[in-house]
Amino acid sequence: MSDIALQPAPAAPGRLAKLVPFDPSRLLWFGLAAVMIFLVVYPLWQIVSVSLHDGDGNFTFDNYATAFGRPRYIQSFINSLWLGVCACVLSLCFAVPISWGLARTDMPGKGFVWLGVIGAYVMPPFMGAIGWILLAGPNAGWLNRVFRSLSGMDMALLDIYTFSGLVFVVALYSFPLVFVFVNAALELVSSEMEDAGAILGASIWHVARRITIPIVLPTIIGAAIIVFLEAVSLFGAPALLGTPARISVVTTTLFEFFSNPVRIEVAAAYSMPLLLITVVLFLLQYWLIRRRGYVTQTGKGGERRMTKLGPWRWAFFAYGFGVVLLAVILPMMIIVQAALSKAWGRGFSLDNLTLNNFRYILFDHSTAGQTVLNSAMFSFWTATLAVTLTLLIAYIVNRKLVPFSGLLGFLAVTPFVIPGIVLAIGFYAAYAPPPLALYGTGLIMVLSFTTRFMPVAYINAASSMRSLHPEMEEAVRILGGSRITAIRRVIAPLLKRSLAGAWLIVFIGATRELSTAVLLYVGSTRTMSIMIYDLSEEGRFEQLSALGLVLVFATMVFVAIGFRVVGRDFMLKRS
Amino acid sequence: MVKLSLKNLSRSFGDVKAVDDINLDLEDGEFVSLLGPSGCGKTTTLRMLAGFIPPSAGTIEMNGRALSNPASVVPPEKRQMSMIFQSYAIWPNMTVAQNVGFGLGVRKLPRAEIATRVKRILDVVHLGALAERYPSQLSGGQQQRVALARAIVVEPQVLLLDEPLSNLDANLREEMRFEIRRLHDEFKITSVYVTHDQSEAMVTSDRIVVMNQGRIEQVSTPVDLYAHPKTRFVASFIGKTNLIDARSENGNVVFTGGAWPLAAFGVTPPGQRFQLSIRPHDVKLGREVAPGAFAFKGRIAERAYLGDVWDYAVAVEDGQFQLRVTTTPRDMFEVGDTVYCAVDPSIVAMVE
Repeated sequence: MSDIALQPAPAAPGRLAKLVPFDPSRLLWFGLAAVMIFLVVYPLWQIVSVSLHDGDGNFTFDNYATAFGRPRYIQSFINSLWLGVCACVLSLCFAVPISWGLARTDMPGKGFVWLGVIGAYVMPPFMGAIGWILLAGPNAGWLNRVFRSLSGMDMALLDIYTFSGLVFVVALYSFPLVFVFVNAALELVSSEMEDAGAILGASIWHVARRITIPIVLPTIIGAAIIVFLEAVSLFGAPALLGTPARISVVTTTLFEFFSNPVRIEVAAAYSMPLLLITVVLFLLQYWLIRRRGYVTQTGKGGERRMTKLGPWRWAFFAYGFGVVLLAVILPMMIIVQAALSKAWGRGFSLDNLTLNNFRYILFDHSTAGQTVLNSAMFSFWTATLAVTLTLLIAYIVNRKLVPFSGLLGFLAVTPFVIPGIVLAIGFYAAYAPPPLALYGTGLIMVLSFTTRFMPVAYINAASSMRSLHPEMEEAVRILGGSRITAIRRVIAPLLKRSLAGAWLIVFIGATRELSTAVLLYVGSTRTMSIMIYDLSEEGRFEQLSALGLVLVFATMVFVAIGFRVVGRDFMLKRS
Repeated sequence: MVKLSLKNLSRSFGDVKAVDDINLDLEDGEFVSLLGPSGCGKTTTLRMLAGFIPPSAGTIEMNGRALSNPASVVPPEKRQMSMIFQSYAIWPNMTVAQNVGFGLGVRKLPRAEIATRVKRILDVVHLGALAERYPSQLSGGQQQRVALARAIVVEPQVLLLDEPLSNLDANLREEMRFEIRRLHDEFKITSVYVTHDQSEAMVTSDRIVVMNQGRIEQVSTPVDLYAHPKTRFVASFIGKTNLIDARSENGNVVFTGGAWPLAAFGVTPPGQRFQLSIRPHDVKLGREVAPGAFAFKGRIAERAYLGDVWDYAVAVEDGQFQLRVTTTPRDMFEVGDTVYCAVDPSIVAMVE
C-alpha cells in the first residue's frame, strides 16, 4: 500500500525545477486543434484566398468584378436578402401566436398542435416544397384543380412558382425554430408579472401585448435572425420553386457558378458578402440572446398559470390547426397520394393505386440502393465523428485543462455562420486539389457534414458537460481511478442520454443535408436528398414522393427514439 | 510520527496569492481542521493536498516522501488518500453499494472481500438497509453518509473533507459533526477538515489551523485557541470578544481609563502595543465592586434578552469604549444603570 513515488522520481533540488511532467491533455489539445484547423479554419481560409487569386495563382480582384458584374447576379443577392426578411416576418406570424397559445393559455388541443410543430420541424424543407408543388402548381396542383372544379373558372388560384410562394414555403418550415426559442422563453415568465398588470385593470390582450410579449421580445428578435440566416442559406426550396420561375437567389447562383465550367474563384468571391452578413447577424443574435431579455432565469420564476381565453381559445386552436394543416397535413397527404399512384395527376382511385414506386426506388433503380446506403453511412459517421469531437472539446473547455482551450469551443461553433453551400465551396477549394484530392470520395462528404453539424453537437455537448459537477470526476481520482476510469465509469454513463440525443439530432440533420452535398457529390456518393432533388428535376414526382416518404418515415423513427431516450426536451431544447 | 508535512507551501492564481508560505505538520492519526473565512486559502490548501492543483512554491510530503512540488506532482489517484466533497459527488449512475465499493474495485480486491467490507462499513454508518438504493432515492443526510463510507472504506492514508456539512440543514449538521468525530475515533485516519464554521471545527478536531488571507494565524487545540488567541483575527473569529487597545509601560498594562499591573495578567505581552481580548461571559456585572478588584465603571447603554442569557452593551468610562457582556437571565439591569464590570486579568488574552 505504500508503493507511491513522485513522477518523475525526486532528483536533486537544483535539478527538480527543470523536469516538466508529461501532460497528455496538452497532446489532446494539439490533436483537436489540428482537426479543427483541418475542418474549419483551412476551408474558410481557402474561400477567402481563392476569391483573391486567378487560375494561375496571381493576386487579383477580377473575381469580385465578375461575380458582381452582372445585374442578374446583383438581383439574386437582393432576392436572397428580401427572401430572408419576408420569410422571417411570416414565420414570426406563424410561430408567436402558437408559442403564446401553447405556453401561456388554456387553448384546447395543445398536444395535437405541439405534435404538428414537431412534424413541421422534422420535415425536410425540400420535401415541403415538393408537397406544395403538388398542391399549388399552377396547372396540375390539387388545390387549383379543386378551385377550378368548384368555381368553374379556368384560372389558377395559387401559383407556388412565385417569390411569394417561395417565401410561404420557407416560412412554413422555419417557423418551428422561432417556436423553440419563444416557447422556452415564455415558459419562464412568471404569472405574477401578468397578474401585476391584470390587478391594475389591463385586459388579457393588453397584458399579452404590453407585458408578456415585450418580456420575450429579445428572444423573438434573436430567433428571427436565426430564421433569416436559415432562409438565405437554403438551397433546396429556392432551387425547386424559384428556378422554374427564373427567380434566382445567392445559393442557386452559387450552384450556377459551379456547373460547367466550374468557376470556383468567382463562386468564392460571390459568397463573401453573404458570409459577412451572416457573421454580423450571428453576432447580433448572440448578443441579444446573451442579454436574455428581462426573463428571470432562476428556473423558479414563481407560479405559472394559464391565461383563460374564454371563447377565443377556439380561435387559437383553429390558428394552430391551420398552420399545422398547411405545413404538415396537406403536403403529407399529397405526397402519400403521389407515392401510391401510377400517375399522381389522375387522383384518388383504386386503379391508380400501386406500390411500384417503392419497389422502383428501393430495388429496381440502378443506384437507389447505393444512395440509401450512402445516406445512412454518411449520417452515421458524421454523427459519430461530430459527437466524439465536440465531447472532447467540451471536456477540455469546461475543465480548462490547457490555456486557450476556449478557442477550440469558438472554432466549434464557427460553422454556424457558414451557409452549407459556402462551406462546400470551402471544402472543394481546400481538399479537391492534390495532394488530398478528396473530391468524389465519401470522406469529403462525411468531413464537410461533420463541420456543418459541429455547432449543434458542440452546444449539446457543452451544456451536458456543464451539468456535470467536476467533483464527480475528482471523487473517482482521489479514490485511485485514472482520468480514463472517470470517463469510462462515471462521465460516459452520466452523459449517455444527452449524447445519444445529440447523436440523433446530427444524424437526422445529415440524412436531409442538401446544400453542402449538392456541390461535393459524384455518382457514387449520391445521397437520398440529392436523389430527391434530381428526380424532381426530371418531374418524376411519384417515385420522388416514395423516396421522400422513406426518408420522412426513417426520420420519424429516429425522432421517436430520441424522445424515448431523452424525453420532451429532445430537439426542442433551446441552445 | 509526522504523517503529512507542508513546507513553505504557496499557491498563486495570477497576481492573487491564495496560499502564502504555510508550514504545517500533521501527526499520524490526527484530525486537523483548516478554519477560516471564504477566500482564506483553506480549500486551495486542501486541493493541493489532494493533488488536484500543484503548488507554486514549497513541498508536500507524506511519510517523509515528496508528493508535490512546483515541478511535479503525484496525481490524485496515486496518493492513497480519499476525499469528501462539498457536493458529496455521489455518482448517480451507481447504487449505494457500488459507490462505496468503487475504490476497492479500483484497488483490485476480490469480489467477495469487497462485498464484506462494503457491508461492514454501511452498517457502521447505519445505511445497511439501503445498499441497493440509487442516490436519487436518498435524503441529504443519507448521501452524506454514503460519501463518508465511500471515503473511509478504502482505509486511506489521509482523509480530506471539503466543507462536507455545508449543504445540510442545521439539525443534521449538528448530528453529523459528532458522527464524523465518532468515525475518526473508530478508524483513526489522519484527517484534514476544511470549514468556515468554528463549532464544526471545535467538535471534530484535535487541532485547528486558523487561516486568514492565505496565511496561518494560529495552530492549536480547540481549548487553547479559545482561551489564548494569539492574534486579534483569531480572537474575534473564534467566538465573540471585546478588543481593547493597550500598551505595556513600566510594568503596567495601560489602556483607556486605566492601568493594571502586568503581573496580574501572568503572561508576557506580544509587543509594545497590543490588544486585550475579553470574552463577554468572562465579565461579571455588579452594582458595586469589591475593593482592590479589577473592574471598569460604566453605564448600561443597550440590552437584549435572548432567553438563556442577557446581552448587555456597557458604555465604559463615560463612553470611551463599549464592552459587550453576557450574563445569566437573573442578572437584571435597566438601561442607564451604573454598573461595575469586574474582570479577572489572568483569563484575559493579549493579542497582536
